[in-house]
Amino acid sequence: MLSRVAENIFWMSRYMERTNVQLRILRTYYIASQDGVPFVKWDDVYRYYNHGKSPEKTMNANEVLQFILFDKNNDSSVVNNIFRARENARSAQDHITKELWQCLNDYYHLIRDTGLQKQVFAGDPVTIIDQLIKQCMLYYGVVDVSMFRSEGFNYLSIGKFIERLLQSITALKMQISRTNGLSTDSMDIVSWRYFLVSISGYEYYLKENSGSVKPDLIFKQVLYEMHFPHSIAYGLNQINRYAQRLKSVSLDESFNKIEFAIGKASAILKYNSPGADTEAQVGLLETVESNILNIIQSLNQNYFGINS
Amino acid sequence: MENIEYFKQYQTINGVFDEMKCNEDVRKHYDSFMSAFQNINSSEMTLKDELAKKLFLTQGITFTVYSSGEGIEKIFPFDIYPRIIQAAEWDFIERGIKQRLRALNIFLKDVYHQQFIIKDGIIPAALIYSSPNYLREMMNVDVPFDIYTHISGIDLIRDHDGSYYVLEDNLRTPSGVSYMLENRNISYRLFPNLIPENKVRPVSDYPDLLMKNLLGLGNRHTSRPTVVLLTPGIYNSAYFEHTTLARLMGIELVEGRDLVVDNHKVYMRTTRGLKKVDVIYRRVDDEFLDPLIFRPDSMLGVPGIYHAYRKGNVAIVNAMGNGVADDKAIYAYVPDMIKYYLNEEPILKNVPTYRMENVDEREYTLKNLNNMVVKRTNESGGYGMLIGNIASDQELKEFSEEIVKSPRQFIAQPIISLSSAPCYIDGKLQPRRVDLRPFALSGPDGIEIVPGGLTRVALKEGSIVVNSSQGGGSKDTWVVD
Repeated sequence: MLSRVAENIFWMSRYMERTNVQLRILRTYYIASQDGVPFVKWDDVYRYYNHGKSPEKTMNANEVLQFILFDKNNDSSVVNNIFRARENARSAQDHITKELWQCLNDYYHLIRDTGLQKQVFAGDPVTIIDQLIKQCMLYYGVVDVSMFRSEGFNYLSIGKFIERLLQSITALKMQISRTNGLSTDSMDIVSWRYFLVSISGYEYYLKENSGSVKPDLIFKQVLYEMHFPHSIAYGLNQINRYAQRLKSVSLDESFNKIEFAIGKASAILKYNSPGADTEAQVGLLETVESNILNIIQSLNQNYFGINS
Repeated sequence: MENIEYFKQYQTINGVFDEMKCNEDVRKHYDSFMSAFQNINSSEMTLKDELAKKLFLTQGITFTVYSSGEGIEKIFPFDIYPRIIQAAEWDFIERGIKQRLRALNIFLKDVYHQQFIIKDGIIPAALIYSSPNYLREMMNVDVPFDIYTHISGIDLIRDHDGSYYVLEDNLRTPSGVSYMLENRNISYRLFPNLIPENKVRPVSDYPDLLMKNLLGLGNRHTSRPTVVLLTPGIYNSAYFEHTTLARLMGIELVEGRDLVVDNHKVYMRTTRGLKKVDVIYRRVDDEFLDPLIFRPDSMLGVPGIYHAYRKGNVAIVNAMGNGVADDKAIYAYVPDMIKYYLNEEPILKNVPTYRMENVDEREYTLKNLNNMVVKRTNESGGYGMLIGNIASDQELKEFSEEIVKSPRQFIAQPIISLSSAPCYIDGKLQPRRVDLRPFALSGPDGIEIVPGGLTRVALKEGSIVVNSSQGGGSKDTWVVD
């Protein structure tokens, strides 16, 4: 497979995963803000999606949603994610199925629909976000059913899990900083609950820990729980699984490097136990994050032909 | 639910040959389709028209116009009413195109080798050397099987008496074949059963024929040649076509940055390292192909590819330097080429062409500019053209001045009326002007032409410009037995 095409598929997948996570976080935030939860500050949300820059004037929820979902001038907006996912898919069209291309093409036309954009102000934003999430689910379904399990599928899967890990780590770090890793008052508990909802982990948490919301247990779930698809351990395991499938189509040297990078990240996760110490927790998250970036660098150098 | 008498309402244009209607009657080869069409009521027809548009958009059968960093998707307009050609007429076209291509191919070999045609005084040397598309770098380069014009699109039009004329030859990177394939796919959906009932000849084997030829070119070096399609990238307006063809042939779609030349051999960068490439179907123009030889600022090409080609280590399709043969000034000499190389009378006629470097012809043209189409010799796509009878006085004046200043840059032709074909527009059948671009494939086994081709249609009422960039569209083309 062409190195460029492999990279295109990898990034298509990353942008789609980013979109999915972003939409779910926004949905939870919006619902929480309607619920009167005080930790939701829309200016903070705006700043996060605007390279840390504050808005020129105070913005309400609908304005921030418009900015994150549909603003083409916002580099991190969902519409730009979809645009880039589609551009990457266009460049790899001969290695993805026609159905997958059409699914992304449909998504592109949907998100550019001005009628949909107007509903952010005129209608119910949750309905719009749900519609966009549904289109993401359609994408995952089409990938699962139609994509051939060849080399390209491995890059697609690795891209998906790498992006998911990075998003989970960022969300967890923000949550720890928001609550100082505590659940002392009722609002902290609500905040942790909404955090779990935003990463699709609330139901699973309840099954295992019904009746109590404890930050250290949530931390453990997000880091180590192998049955939770948004956990770091699960993601690294999946990355390793799809990387192993590349062995037969790789140069030995390339495969050894990627295997080493994945193994190192997994070992750091496995052999560190930060306990309830918030600083140690954040430190571990940052170390894992930098090792995931090393995996990306290894892919760039050994598979995608990018040398910088 | 209203049945419209489509045919009764259909009014042809005076003095224009109509593909369907003759003496208030339906031509025989349109009869079967028109009868079926007549039975479709207006609301059903509107739904079909909408379905066609939707299918094009959702399948991404679009060309993209980029402005301010973002792509604007445009559908190449499609008219649902097919253009129908009877088999006997098609046989005539096929023979004519094959004859023309044989001559043009010999011309290219000759002009880049011994140049007998110049030495014998058939074509002036100055005309060839002044063509911007004549590549001195191709002199004495031997191309595989002596084939230059692997893929050609010959534009045909019909005058008021119905006779076919060649409007221009496209021998470099002719586009539109994916629309031919997609138009047929859409027709299956719009008119179930009508294609088999009308015994329409299939076009779907085009990718197989092309692939067979491409593999044939690579067989000189290896039994399993690696074939790739070189595209300028996603920003090219024909990118959809490139992806379609790569997908249908099962070959890699590469960009210039994916290829690298080492020791005069071409390789592509893959996840397993470098892989040798044997045949390149390129959709990048000559001047961008190798920055070391042609335009140094080209980011679309591959440094060193020219020398790899010259050494015979890679086959490039179409050959470099073909532009000299489809130059609009050289076009006027194609009938002479046919007589000179093949000793045959041309089957397909040329549109009479006045060469502006010839003083008599220039003066005649300037006097009769109102009745002429003036074209720039190095432009295509309907750009840089003057249609005398609809041009303003200012435009006529500007063109006159430019012709006098640089006559080699222009040719003039009498205004050909172009035949009309019925189009379904605003709920009724209306005549619109059409041309026809059949696609011919030349390979080691000879020349093959897929029946039909792309019918382009000037959708604006009264217009005779069929180019997509100038408001043109397309329709499916049926060759019926």
